[in-house]
Amino acid sequence: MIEVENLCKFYGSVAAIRDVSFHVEKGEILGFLGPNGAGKTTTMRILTGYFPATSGTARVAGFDVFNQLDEVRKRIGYLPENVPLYTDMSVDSYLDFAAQIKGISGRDRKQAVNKVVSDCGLETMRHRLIKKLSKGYRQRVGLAQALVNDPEVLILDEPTVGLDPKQIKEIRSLVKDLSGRRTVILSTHILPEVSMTCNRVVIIHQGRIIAADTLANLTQQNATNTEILATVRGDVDRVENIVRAIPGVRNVARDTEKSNGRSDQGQVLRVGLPTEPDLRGKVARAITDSGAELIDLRSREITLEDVFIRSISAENARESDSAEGMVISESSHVEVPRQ
Amino acid sequence: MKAFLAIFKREVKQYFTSPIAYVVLVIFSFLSAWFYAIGFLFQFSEYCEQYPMIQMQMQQNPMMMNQNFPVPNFTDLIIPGYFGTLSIVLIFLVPLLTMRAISEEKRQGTIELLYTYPLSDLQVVLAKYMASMVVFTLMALLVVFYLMIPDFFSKEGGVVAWKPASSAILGFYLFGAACIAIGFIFSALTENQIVSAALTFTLLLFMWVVGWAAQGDNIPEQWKKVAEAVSLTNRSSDLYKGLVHLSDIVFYLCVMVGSLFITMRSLESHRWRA
Ligand SMILES: Nc1ncnc2c1ncn2[C@@H]1O[C@H](COP(=O)(O)OP(=O)(O)O)[C@@H](O)[C@H]1O
Ligand SMILES: [Mg+2]
Repeated sequence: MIEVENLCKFYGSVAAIRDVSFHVEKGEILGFLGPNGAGKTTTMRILTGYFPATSGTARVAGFDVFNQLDEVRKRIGYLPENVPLYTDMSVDSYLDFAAQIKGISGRDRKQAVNKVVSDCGLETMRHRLIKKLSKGYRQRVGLAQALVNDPEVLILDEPTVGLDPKQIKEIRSLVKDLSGRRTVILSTHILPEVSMTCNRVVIIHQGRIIAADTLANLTQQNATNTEILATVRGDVDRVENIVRAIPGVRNVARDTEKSNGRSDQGQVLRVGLPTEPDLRGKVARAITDSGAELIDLRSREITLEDVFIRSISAENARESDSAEGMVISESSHVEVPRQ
Repeated sequence: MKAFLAIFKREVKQYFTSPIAYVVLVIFSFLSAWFYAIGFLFQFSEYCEQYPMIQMQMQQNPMMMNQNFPVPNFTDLIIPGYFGTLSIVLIFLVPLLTMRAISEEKRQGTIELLYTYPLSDLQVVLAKYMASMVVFTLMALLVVFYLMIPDFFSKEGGVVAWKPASSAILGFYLFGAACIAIGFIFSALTENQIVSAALTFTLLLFMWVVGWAAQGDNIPEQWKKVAEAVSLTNRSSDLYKGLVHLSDIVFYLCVMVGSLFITMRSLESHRWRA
């Protein structure tokens, strides 16, 4: 449904994205994951025809985003990053405007607006001015605007950024429900968001795609190590030594950041373990047998950082293999000469 | 076409839900009524009263025949000056009318959606321009209404000769249309309404005062010609007198189309400037 090949975009002489290629199948929800400044917005703006790429090609629903832009635009619903809306319009009149501008006429328009209003849970807000809405509801209006022409492709740029946890949850489930048969690209810099809403994830970092896979694969890939966090109350030094002595345990360290400096609440130990065999039970027993109290034991959540580090090191390993030991620097904004 | 209508409707509504259109209309109706009353009640009626005396003097003193003392005729005496004054009023009001047209979309970021909807930049610019022209048309209609008033009250009617008067109205409309188009250029150049208004005002003001050079003494002929050519206000003086030259009409249309073209280009520029 969406085919992106070797996209590059230069702002002046600085490359915002380089050689970005990925595919999205019909009906898939793709998480476009990357930290701020990675090039997510840039890529999405190229797909929506906001501006052209410097080089490379992109096709949406079979139409080229450079030569058949109008066909592409008719099939895309786009929610830009900061949800720009006409704040002095009411929800109803704004959505009617959006529907009309997308070429829906007469009775169809009323129906289309009614549908997105109820789909996005905006019934009670219909007559309210957009500037009087909370951020969560504005996001819904933005979504409704994107959906009003029932597009095949939905492009959502960080739809949950700046919302409170309740609103985030609501928007995520809304996106999931509304995606239906649509093809969706959703950008985010929050890893768990991807696992909650997306089938597949493309990770972009410093303008390059560094991984594209299912989330399960990504979080397991090369994962021979895991780490657990054990909160222990008692003689922590002794516990540390005992745990370190367990065969198979890679390393033990005290996490002073998480321990927040109060010994009566216990200290956090970070224990590095191999994924196979599973030593978690052994570690737990060793701690309690030592006489100390084990207050909490959990696996450390895999963060975006971990995935990055893994993907980048995998990438580097691949590249240095092919380049026969050449050192690939990881400096961020490599100046690329103007073409 | 639907996209055009959508934007046009939204913009017109926008004008009348914000205070801008009302402020402009109120200021304009006050000033235009004021200058009309001055012209009509004082200048014209005074001249009418004095005219018999002047006539007598002219018969006694043939030297006076060479001077210009026309028969008191409202259309010839008052309309050119009145419309000239209205043009100056427009120079002050048009920046208010156009300042937010495109700059506000840039500031709020809503332009990003316009750029990604299935519509062309031409549609965006024209729809917004037409919406501004709606407000201006109301202003022009008000002036037409003023011109109709004397005929209501005079028994014989025919105070205003409509043929030269319509030429003046045409000139006023073209002048306003050109000013608004110029305002659009600056509205597209910046995302700050104040900057947009200030730049529009500066350019319009310049295109007015540059015309003074065309009348001034001790100014070289070529300079006068240039001043005459670029002055936005001098161009309408003949139209206000009831003299229709195609060249004047074409001048205003060129300014209008040219300005809208530049506006469109500057909208497009984000694609390659980014
Ligand atoms: N208009 C611009 N001019 C110059 N550089 C830009 C512009 N927009 C974005 N960039 C740069 O391009 C890179 C990618 O930005 P962006 O696509 O917005 O990242 P993301 O959406 O992932 O946060 C960033 O380094 C950013 O600073
Ligand atoms: Mg972004």
